[in-house]
Amino acid sequence: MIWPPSLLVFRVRNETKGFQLWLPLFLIWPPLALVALAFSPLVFLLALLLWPTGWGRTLLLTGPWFFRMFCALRGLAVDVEGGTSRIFIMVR
Amino acid sequence: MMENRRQVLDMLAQGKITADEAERLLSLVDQPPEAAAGSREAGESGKPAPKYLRVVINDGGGSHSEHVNIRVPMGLIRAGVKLASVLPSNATEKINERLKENGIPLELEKVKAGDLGELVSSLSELEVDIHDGDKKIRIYVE
Repeated sequence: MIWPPSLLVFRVRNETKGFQLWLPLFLIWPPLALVALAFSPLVFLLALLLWPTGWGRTLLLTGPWFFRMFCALRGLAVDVEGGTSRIFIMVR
Repeated sequence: MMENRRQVLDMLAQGKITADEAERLLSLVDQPPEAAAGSREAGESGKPAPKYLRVVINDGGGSHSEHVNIRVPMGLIRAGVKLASVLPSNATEKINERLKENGIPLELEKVKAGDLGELVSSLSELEVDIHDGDKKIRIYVE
């Protein structure tokens, strides 16, 4: 079972200021699912219309692909420090 | 689990597999499901499948030194490769042409996610270690 990430930690710091954000991603899953559900008939219709051009299949598979990419972000960590500045991003 | 054991023993009795193969299969059957999945991912080497690609760069130790520490999940790389299967053939042809123009003779439609699994498991041996004075670059999988 693939689970989407539940938390994004974002920290920025320079010589004088610092900013830290803990974004609970699990809170945006339900609204995102609702939006996806609401748009799905439109996507299916567009996919049918675009099928002869070859982009219909792409349109149909883009949603699952983005979901897979979103889920695969779990575990990503970027920590860049230069002098007194630092950027830290972590997805859990 | 008992059914699987019986199946392996039947195959041995029928001469379809050798005693060594039966022993190996039985040891896999006896493993808990998670461990069996792990050993399948690990492949022949017996090492666990790599989960992350790590890039660590340390530029000296002074007050203005730069440090980079990146951890990319292998799943993200796999998902990225799967984009090739989503794109229509006319788009991949254009991408192939542009890649070729830039000296990368790669055909995207031939890159399969299954092949990538093999590549990723072979990456478990990857380790790039560069030292240049105070600077240090390390790329590895874990």
